[in-house]
Amino acid sequence: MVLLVTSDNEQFQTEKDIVERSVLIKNMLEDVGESDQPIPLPNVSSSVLKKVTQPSTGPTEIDVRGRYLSTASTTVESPSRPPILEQSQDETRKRTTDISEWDQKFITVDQEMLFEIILAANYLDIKSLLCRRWLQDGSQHDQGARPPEEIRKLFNIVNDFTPEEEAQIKKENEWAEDR
Amino acid sequence: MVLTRRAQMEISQWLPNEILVHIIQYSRNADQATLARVSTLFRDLCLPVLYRVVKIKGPRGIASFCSAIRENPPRADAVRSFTLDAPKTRDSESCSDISLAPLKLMLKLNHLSISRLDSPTCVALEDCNFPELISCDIRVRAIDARFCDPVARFLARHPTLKRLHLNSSMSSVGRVTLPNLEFYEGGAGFILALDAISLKEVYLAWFSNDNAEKIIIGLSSITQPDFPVISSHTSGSWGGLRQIVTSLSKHMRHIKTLRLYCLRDSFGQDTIRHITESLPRFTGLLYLEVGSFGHVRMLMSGASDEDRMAAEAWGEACPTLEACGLNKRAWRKIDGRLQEFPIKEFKILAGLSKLGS
Repeated sequence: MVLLVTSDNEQFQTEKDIVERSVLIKNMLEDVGESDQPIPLPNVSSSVLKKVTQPSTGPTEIDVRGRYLSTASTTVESPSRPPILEQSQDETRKRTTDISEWDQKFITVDQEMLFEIILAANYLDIKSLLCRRWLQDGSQHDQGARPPEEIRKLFNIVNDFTPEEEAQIKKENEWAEDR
Repeated sequence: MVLTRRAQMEISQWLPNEILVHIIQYSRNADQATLARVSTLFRDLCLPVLYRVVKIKGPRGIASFCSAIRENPPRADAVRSFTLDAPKTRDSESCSDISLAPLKLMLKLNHLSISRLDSPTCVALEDCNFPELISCDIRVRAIDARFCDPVARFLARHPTLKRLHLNSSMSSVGRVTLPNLEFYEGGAGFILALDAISLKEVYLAWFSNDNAEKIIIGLSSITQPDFPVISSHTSGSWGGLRQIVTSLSKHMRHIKTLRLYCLRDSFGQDTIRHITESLPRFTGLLYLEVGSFGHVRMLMSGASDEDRMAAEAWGEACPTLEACGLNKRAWRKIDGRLQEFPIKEFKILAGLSKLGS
């Protein structure tokens, strides 16, 4: 187990194989070796770390196996693995059919938190953390990309293309969509 | 729904571009293409990433990419890696009528990979000169005799190449001088055409009509005795591999790593004996791996004892040997005694972990 300390001094005890999804933490662990010393995460608040590592609850909970991070005071066994730190291909494949509700909640409910999580992902260097989630259409089983208009709406982006320009850019890059 | 002030702002106003670029980099090509249509900012962030590593499948993709480059030539400058993964298609989808001429505009290309060679591709290659090309994969099962010379000429025009993978035999071609080539994986016959003074790693596939002695002499003449060479050989028969070992022990005694793999049969005592008898002639051999893709001996009782005995015999026959791998197991010398260790670690130690990459 690894002890993490967030910017607001909350301690989290976490399984090593889970936290090593973060390149930053993995490198830190390699540098310090076997040690009980806590790892400080000065750029990540406890609310963000919880969000990053805890599963959603209630009706939108997704059924993915595994243990997840727990606070030092209360060790919790959860049926859900941290959705973001999750990397296993099999489990990812499983989630692709079940995750739309969670995705909806994750992306649309609290955009402020989404911002914090993206920053934390960048700081912790957890590759592929969010890109697929907010680019993909969770309601589609083939996990195709969200249409541009949906991405614009989700992130308040103004379309400054003329219709001709947008058509041109689509035509130019069709090769990338040919799977 | 909680709507904060930031949530009502455009994403680029609260998220630094560098993080957007990170996200874009970890996305699939199709997602990058979609994002490029979101706004001019996203287009400007996405396109350099999208065009940096280009992987194209099928005639439609090829036509679309060439058309994009033709209409906007500066895009070609962004391409560093280009993979033309053209599967076999129906005649109606043939790419024979597509002009690949725009490919020559990718002047900053570092890596080229082609999985199918046909007339249009060869015509395009004849016209291409990529001054920064360092890696080339031509993963074609059998190169048509008509295309061997154009491919050889293409390679000869790229002395910057450091890595070359040729999936098939290309023996009867003119001399190809690649002074910077460090890694060659492909047909053994091509060694006779190759002039590569920096070669450090060879992964040779041998065919039944290859002349082992002649090719090993050729290989010896282009490798430096003071370079620790990694020499890997895959053949369809142990008879062929025994010839290779004999030739190597005469002409390439300085190799650091020797790997012998048979495509089909598991090997017998005669092969183990032959290797054991050849090993004393090697002067700098550190790592030896022997195995078979058709290996079944692991399942037989007593096989592991035989493997260990063979490894011990090799260790005694070759004092420089530090570790050896046999039948997906590995041993290394520690304080003069053999100890088993994971085969994955052996491959890293022996420098074989890059095999096939």
